[in-house]
Amino acid sequence: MNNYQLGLIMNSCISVIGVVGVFIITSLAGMFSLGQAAFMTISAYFTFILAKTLGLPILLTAVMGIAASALCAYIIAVPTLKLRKDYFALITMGFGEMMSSIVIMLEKYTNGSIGYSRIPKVKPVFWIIIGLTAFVIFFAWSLKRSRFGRMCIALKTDETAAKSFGVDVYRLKIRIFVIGSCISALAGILYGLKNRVITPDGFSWNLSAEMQIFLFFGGTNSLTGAAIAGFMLKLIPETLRTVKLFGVSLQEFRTVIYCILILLVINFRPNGMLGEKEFSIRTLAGLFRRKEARNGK
Amino acid sequence: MENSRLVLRCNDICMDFGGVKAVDHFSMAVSPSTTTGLIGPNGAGKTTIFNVFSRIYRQTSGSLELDGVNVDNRGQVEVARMGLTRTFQNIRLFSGLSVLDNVKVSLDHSAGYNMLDAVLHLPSRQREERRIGQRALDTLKLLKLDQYAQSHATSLPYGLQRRVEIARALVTEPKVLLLDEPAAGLNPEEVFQLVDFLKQIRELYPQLALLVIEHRMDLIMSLCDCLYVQNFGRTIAQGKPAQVQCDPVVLAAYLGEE
Amino acid sequence: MWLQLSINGICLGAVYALIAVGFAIVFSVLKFSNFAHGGMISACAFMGYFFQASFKKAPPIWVTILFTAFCGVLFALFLDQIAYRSIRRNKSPNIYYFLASLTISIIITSILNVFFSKNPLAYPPLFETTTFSIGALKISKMDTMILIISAALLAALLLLINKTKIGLAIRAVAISPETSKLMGINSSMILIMIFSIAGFLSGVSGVLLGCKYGVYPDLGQTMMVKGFIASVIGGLGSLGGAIAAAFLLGLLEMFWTYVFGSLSTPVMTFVVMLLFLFIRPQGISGKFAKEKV
Repeated sequence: MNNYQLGLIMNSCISVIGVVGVFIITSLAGMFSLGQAAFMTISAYFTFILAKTLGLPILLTAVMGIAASALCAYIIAVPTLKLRKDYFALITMGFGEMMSSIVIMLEKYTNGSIGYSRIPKVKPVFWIIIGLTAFVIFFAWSLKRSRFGRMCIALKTDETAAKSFGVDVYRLKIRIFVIGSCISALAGILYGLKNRVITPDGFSWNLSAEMQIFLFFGGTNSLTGAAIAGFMLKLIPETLRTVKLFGVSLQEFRTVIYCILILLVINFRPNGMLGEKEFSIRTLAGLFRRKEARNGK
Repeated sequence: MENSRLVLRCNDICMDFGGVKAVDHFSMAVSPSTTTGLIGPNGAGKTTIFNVFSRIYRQTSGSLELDGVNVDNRGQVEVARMGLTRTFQNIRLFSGLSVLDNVKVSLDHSAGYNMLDAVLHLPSRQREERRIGQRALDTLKLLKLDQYAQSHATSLPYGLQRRVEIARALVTEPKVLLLDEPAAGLNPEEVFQLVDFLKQIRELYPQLALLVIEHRMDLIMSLCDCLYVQNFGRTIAQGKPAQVQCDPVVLAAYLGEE
Repeated sequence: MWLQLSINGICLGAVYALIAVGFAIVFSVLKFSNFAHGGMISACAFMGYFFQASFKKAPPIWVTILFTAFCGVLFALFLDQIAYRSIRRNKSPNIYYFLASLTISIIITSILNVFFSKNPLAYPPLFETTTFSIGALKISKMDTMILIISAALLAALLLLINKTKIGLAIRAVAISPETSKLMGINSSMILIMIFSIAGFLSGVSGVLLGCKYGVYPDLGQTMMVKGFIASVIGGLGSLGGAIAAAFLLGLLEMFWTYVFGSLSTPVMTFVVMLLFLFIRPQGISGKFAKEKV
């Protein structure tokens, strides 16, 4: 594989990590966050600026960056998650807008809208990204299959009923939001490592929205669907870069195309492409059996 | 004196909704091992009383004690963990989960492993998952629902869903179980099965205090030891079923003034 | 100086109020956050611009506003058909409304971005001199026009909601759609009304914002956040609260900008909103949108 192809795969993997972060928040616990890009911003800038100015190893500053994101998520969650879901969506969105302007405001450190590019080169970045993607997917899968996942699905379908069975909805939501934001934060750092430059535009509101769109396209309750959608919807438009429509590269139209896909999904397949299905050996075996049965006839 | 210990007790509970008194000075005392019925016409405030008991609403005035502990300032989650569970008038199972998982949710808050154990698949996770899985399955077996354990909860017929909902509430072995119109929406055959089912529960969980809201007199009469009759938020009669049945005030409320 | 700032703040507040109300009216009746409002505003700003540009001699501004408002109504009804109708029909959870309205907002913004991101457009100047003065005060003519138009519109809207039969029906549906259906209120009629009002408001605010800030794809998105913040501070779903909060926000922003500069204002508005949620989550109006038990 050449560098270009490796780059595409890395981008897609980072997209998967971002979407899995949103999956935990939105699909498990039913909170519609529109500010996940903001957590990517916080951790990425934190990590690389600290690494540069204090000369600390990047692994340490990455942990600090993620911790900073987690703290911000906690502060937002405490007043907001007691209220109606709409507040959460609006506040996370406001938070995203605020983060972009903070980056511009602190131009002295962040280099403003031009972008911060003093990011050290990390050698095995490809394998780091692949490894972390696998880890994050495993993490989310384990979480979904644990008691926390069950309680989340319960509170998502019926908050009042969940409370009546001892699920501490408020606390669980806060924890889930913080964890999901940590994963977004991780995606932000990897994005910086891969591209060697971070700009406020790169982490705009559109990115937060794009991740939600990927998620719903793949399937509202399916981690498999979310991961596949996160990967493919990032990859396909990149490979179609040279195709033109109305004299404009198809790449430019990608958001429009995503949106049309989502409108189709909402209208015709409201649970996303995979709905609640998950990949497992058992479903695969089930598919085979069905095929055999059909052949047997 | 063990028998006279009260598991649920409320004094002069009132509940206002913007000037409308949904519950007006309601008092009640419930001992373990009893079945109490709450009857009355629509809009008499029965469900509101249940909602106050399970802390979905905070009462406007009055006090509420659960197992000797004042719970006026406790929330829904806390009273649930203290041993008060309920079912809902319109069945509210968690649609994304299987029957077994629905029952497990009740136990999940008590499972002894944290998020780190969960994502790293540490032994404590395995052990606790096995424990609550077994306990949930035992309850389902006890209530003869184990054959549906893996089915999608909301794809079952209505009567079965109702029983799963009761199983979900029973799995923690609560002290008080509130049943809000368990026969609502069931056909006669299913009602018949439900009565049997509730009698079974009575035997299987001897310490349990059961509170039932119901419209169907046959069901109430065959189950309850004690009845409270509500009308327009007030208690108009209380006592043994046979006694209440021929109370003229009750007859008037049900059949209209003559 | 204070007086000057206050006047500017009120004018800014009027802009925010127009946006906040367009958002709040959908929320108060349909109980979902209409993120599409920002995209609508952008789209209307462009429509107004091209309408005006299609004439040799630009028509008076009120013609443009009316035309755009009309387009806004049609556009809003069209969006309802393609995005929200099936959600209502399937009775899908609220989160789908978030997703659908978000999608609409993005699709509009990105279509506009593909074609018009290169060079920002601007309405031809409306006035030969931009300000007039009363004593030492300098007042922008544009701001005055915006203030007058939005004050008139808001007053008309409040009258419509509070004093007419249609308004009564709208309020009834806002409180309980089921009960109002039983009382013989045609809820699909009300739905059309609500989207028309929201579309109308986005049309008007699109043109006015376009005049004030220039026409660019992200115009609506940027301004919409202010509208959201105003309606959260005002108490979600309350029109009066949203208007009051919008003016408050306008004033606050003007004074803050004067003292601390404009770079930090987004941070300030966000922190104010968060503080409000900490201290008084029911907002200025005291009305509190809760999820149904």
